[in-house]
Amino acid sequence: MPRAFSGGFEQLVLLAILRLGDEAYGTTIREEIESRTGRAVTVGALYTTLERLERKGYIRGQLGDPTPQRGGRAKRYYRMVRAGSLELERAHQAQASMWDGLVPRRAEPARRRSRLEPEEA
Amino acid sequence: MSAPPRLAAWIACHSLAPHEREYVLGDLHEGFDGQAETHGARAAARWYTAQVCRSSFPNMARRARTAWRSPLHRDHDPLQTSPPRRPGDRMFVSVLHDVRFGIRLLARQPARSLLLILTLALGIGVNAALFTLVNTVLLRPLPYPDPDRVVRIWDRDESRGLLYFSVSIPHYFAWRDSTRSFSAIGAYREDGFTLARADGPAAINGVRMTASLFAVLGVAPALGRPFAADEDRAGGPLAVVVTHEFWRRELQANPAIVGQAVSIDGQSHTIVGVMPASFRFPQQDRVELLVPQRLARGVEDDGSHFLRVLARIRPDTAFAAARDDLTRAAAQYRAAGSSHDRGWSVVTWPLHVAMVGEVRDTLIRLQGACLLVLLIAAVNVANLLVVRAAGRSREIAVRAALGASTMRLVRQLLTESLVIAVIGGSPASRSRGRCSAWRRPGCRSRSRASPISPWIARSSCGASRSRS
Repeated sequence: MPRAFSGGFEQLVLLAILRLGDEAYGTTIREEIESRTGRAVTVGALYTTLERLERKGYIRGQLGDPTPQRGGRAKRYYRMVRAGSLELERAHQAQASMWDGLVPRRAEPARRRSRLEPEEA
Repeated sequence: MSAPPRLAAWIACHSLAPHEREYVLGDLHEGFDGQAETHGARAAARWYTAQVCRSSFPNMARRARTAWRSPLHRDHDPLQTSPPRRPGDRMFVSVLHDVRFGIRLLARQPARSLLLILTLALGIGVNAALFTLVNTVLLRPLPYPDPDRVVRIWDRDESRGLLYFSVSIPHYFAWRDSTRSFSAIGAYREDGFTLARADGPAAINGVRMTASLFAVLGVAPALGRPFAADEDRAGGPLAVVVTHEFWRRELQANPAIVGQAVSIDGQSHTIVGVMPASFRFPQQDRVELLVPQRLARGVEDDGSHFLRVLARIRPDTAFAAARDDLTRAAAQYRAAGSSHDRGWSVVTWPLHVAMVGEVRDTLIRLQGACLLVLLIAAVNVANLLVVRAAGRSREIAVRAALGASTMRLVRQLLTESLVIAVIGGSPASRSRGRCSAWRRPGCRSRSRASPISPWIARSSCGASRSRS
C-alpha cells in the first residue's frame, strides 16, 4: 500500500525550507510561513514538525556556530534532502490531480433557516 | 535591550530536552528581540509568554518521546547513535516510568481506583466551584478605580421600617452641598427607553444619571465626552452616552458616531460619548443608555424618594469620618427642614458591601461547609491509600533490597499520588461553567473574564496531592 502523504503543516515547513535555502532555521522558517500564509506558528509546534520530518529522512539539521545575537546561542540550520523533494513532488501531484477540473472559489456560508420561516412551496 | 520574562524563560528551558535548548531558546530570544524592536518591550514580553505557554506541551511531549525511545543506558551506547542521556533526562525518564506504573496500579484495581478518584473529584470540584464564586463575588475589587472609596447612600426611616430607602431630591442636594468629605456625589435611577429604529421601535434599558456620577465611578467614555454642565440642567440640550454593547449592536460600531442624533422616547438626542467595553453600571444589569437626570431644586417635594445615590470619599478622608459628616449634614437639614423630614435619617455603606451584603454571610458559611467536605474526602482518600500501601509492603521491600534509595521510593509513591490527584482534580475545572452563571449584579465581566482562577485549581490539586 502506498505511503500516506505528509500533513498540511509538514508540507508548509518543507516548502519554507526549500524557499529559504541556506538560511533555513527555526525563526526564518516560522516567519516565512507566517508572512506567506497569515497563520500564527508556535515554536513548539514547529520543532515538533521539524523533528518528525528529520526522523522521516526528509530534512537534515545541523548546528551552526554561536553568534553574539540571540543571547549568544547557536542556530540549527535545516536543509532538504532528496527524499524530502520527492515527497513534496508526490504531494503536489496528488493535490493537482484532485483539483483537476474544479474551480477554487470561496465557499458561501449556508443560510440558516429560521424555525419560524415558512417552508417554500 | 530588555530581556525575556524570567518565569517564561525558565519554563521554556525546563520543558525542552537539554540538547534542544541551545537553538530553540535562541529562536525564542531572536523572536523576542524582533518583537521588541517593532512593537515595544511589553508586546515582546506578551509574545514570548504566549509562545512559551503554547509550546510547553509540545516541547514536553517531544522530550518524553525522545527520552522514551532511547535505550536505558544510552550513556554507555558504544555507537552513540543519538544524543547522550544527561542527568536531567534520566530523572525525566524515571518519573515517566513512575507515572506509567501509577496508571497501571490504578487500572489493576478499578473499583478501588474509581472510589479514590470520585472521592477526590467530589471534594475538589465542589470546593473549587464555590471558591470561584466567593472569589468573584467577595474577594475581587469592583471594576472602578479606588473602589473602596465609592459608597452608596440611602434614606432611612426606622419608625416606618424603611431601613434602606431611595433618596429624595432635596436630601440629595442637601448632602451634596453641606458635606465636605466627598469629592463627588451623584444620583441615578433606572429607566426604560424607546429607541426609534428603521424596523420599528425597540425597548432599551438604561439609567438617568447626574453628570457627577462619572466622577464618582471614576470612568469616562472611550469615545467622546461625559455630559456637559448645560446638558445636566433642565432645559439644556438633550444628550446621551451609550454603552459599548449598544454602540456595536445598534450603531454598527461607527467610530464617527459622536455628535450624531438618535431618537429616544420620540425626542432627538445627541450622542456625546461611547463607554469602554469594560464598563459595567453598578447594581444594574443590561444598562445600555445613559441619559442625564435633570434635577431641579424645589420642584419635587420631600415625599418622593426615587434616587439612588453614590458618592466618592476624598482620598484624605476615612469612611467613618465621611459617615459622621453625612449624619451631621442630615441632622442639620432635618432641624431646618419641613414636616416631611421628620423621622428620616441617612445611612451609608461602601458600595461593595452594599452589593454583597445579603449573600456575604451565606457564602462564607457555605464555603466553610465545603472545606469540611474536602477535609472528609481527604481523610477517606488517605485511609484508602493506607490500605493500598499495606498491601504493597512486600513490593517496596523488594525494591529496597534491589538497591532503591529511600528518596527514590518516596518519589515513586509521590508520583503515584500525583497521578491520582491530577485525575481526581481534573473534573474541578469543569465546574467553572456552572459557577460563571452566578455573578455579581452589574459586574458580568468579572465572572466572565476569569471563571476559575488558575491558582485556585492549582491550590486545590496541591491540597489533594499533599494529603495523598
